[in-house]
Amino acid sequence: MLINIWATLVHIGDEGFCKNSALGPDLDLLVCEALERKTHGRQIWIVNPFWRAGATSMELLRKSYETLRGSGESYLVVYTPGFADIAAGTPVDVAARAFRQLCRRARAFNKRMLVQQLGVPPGAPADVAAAIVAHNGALAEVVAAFDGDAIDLTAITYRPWLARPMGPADPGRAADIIADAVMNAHAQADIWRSLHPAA
Amino acid sequence: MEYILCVGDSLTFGARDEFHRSYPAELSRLFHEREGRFVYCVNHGISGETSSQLLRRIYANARSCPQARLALLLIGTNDTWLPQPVEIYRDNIRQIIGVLWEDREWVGVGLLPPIVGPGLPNYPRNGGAQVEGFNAVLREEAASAGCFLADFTGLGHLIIDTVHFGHQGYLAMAEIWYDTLRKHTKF
Repeated sequence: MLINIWATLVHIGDEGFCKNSALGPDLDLLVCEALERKTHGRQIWIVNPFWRAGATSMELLRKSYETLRGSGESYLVVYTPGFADIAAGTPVDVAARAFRQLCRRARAFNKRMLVQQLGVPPGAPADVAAAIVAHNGALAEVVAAFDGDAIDLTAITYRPWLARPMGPADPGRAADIIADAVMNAHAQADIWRSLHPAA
Repeated sequence: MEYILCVGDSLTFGARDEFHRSYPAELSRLFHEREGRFVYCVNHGISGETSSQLLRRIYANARSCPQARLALLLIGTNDTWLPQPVEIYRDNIRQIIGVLWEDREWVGVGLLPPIVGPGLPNYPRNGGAQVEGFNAVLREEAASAGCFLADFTGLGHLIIDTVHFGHQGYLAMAEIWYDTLRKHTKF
């Protein structure tokens, strides 16, 4: 079958959150495969990754401009700073302000923003759990103002808390939720699903 | 040789058609196959354009083919992501139709297909509602100017990237144009 349609996502994130292991499939591979399944193989999906190890939101803001500017073919940004800000102790207002500027840049470059909402890893102390909830709320409030969406990753399980950036215990489940959020970022996604039921 | 003037955006240009065809090319083929006539459909579709941008060039496009007795118009999908105020859209359509009537016996107006599904998330999620509003304008302006209407609103299942058709979709568009102009014109 000739496939002549494709879409690119820009993924700005923390490497610890996105990279599964040295040899395993990373989050972006899993997201591409999930999107391929959800669109019944009709469309090619490409992720343009911008990951940095242990990158806080300020570092992601400082260094992602070239990627945002240079991806004119892409109309969507997935933002997953993971637990980097939490582990580094970034104040929630700084993370929110950095993210707000990212949203403004995404709008300038004609892209819709999707942002993570994290759950609490097992073993995380109470202050870390509270910080995760605070960051979730701040990021959700910002993205809503830019007609973007939150990606609800609060109910998935994470690797045990070690006070450093880390990721989901089941990256495939996370990828599936991210792929659903990508689908829902489009116009009348439910109508499309009803017009194209799975074979 | 006879001519039909086709003006619009990527849906007229034929964007995403696997074989780089378009509804004007397929409509020309239908006239050849069904009536043995050589009707060339002049394609003035430009991808990404709004009704305001089409208004800027419509006079030159119309004058490019004064021998065309029939003109077909389909524009508005890209107005949704401005988003275009409906009254500006209405005035654009009114002026475009007015220019198209110059030297022509029939003018056809296409109702916009839906905006649906994955591919181009820059189109607004409320694009469906905007399309309905623009289609109401098209119905009113077409009626008031004596144009015939071609209805593409039922082709959502053939859309492959939120707004565009693949080859099957452009074939369906050509069939609808052909059936509609056969019903409403003596072209």
